[in-house]
Amino acid sequence: MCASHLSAYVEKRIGNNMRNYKMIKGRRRIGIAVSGGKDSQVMMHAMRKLIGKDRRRELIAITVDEGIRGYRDKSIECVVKYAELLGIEHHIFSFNDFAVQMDALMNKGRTDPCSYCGVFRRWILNKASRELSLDALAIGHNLDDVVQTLQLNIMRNEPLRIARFTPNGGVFNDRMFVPRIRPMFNIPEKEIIVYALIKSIPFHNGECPYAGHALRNPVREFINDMESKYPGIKFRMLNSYLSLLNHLNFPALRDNSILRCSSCGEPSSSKICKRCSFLNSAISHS
Amino acid sequence: MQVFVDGEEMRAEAICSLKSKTKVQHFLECIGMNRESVIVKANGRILTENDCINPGDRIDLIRVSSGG
Repeated sequence: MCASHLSAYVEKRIGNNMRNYKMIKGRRRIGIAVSGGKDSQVMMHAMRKLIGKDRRRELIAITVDEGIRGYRDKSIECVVKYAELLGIEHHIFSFNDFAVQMDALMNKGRTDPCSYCGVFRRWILNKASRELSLDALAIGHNLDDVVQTLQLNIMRNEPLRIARFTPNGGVFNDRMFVPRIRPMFNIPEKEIIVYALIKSIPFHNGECPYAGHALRNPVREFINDMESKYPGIKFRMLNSYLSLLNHLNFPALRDNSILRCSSCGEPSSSKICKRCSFLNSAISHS
Repeated sequence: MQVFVDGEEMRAEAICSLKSKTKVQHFLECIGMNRESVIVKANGRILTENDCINPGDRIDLIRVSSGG
């Protein structure tokens, strides 16, 4: 496929996904979670191109600063410049204000940084989205992310997480939750990076210094190895997952039983949310 | 042939042994890289797996997977 066809194909699929999954229907203020990596920068570029001229809608970019020196500061520079170039309102929320900075946490000898970081980041993104009155928040998950997450959730015995990880979020209908949309869920990571190179979209291609600890790494390697040997595996995994989603029927999803964290008041599946429980354990170990 | 991975020069015996025109797919196998995990550029042009690289080319490999 040539450069112009690949670009058009990527944009067409993002547009089709938003339309087919009703990702922005009836939603006015659309947030874009942007880290400065290739996926989110491409998503910001494409969404600006596809819906930027729609006067009924506003695009607002959000970045979470986890406090990882030499990594996140560089990627934030990319977002700030590119959001300004595209004319998109941009807000940065820091771990410093809501959690424990990752560098500080790792200095205390933690060995599971990705669990902490993921929980804190999701908590901040939801709270920030609500404070900014967003109707939906777009996340730059690509095909590779989706199939890796599916595999990880199977390996961790997390069926409820499988059911919640949908292209157009909002499984729980709760006013405290801002639904997440994934306009690039069926686009291979490789095509996204090629699109970024073709369109000269600036992005930070660095690796998180703490990512070496993640179980995702061997899972990624395994799936890539399978894809090389049996092309089409990733799409077949995605299609299995989408078919499966229609049949997942958990009581927790049916009852819509969301609690409020007794510490922070945010939505939670238990009395104390994961963020507060992590925060308490981080403080008690300091 | 000079090979750079995310801008840093890669030194491997396999690179030196490539004396003639080679398919991208074969080149990646020689240096032990999975085709799913890198984009290959030769002299600034993005290549597909069926394209060929020449001994004098400057090869840039861009890792597909980064972040956390």
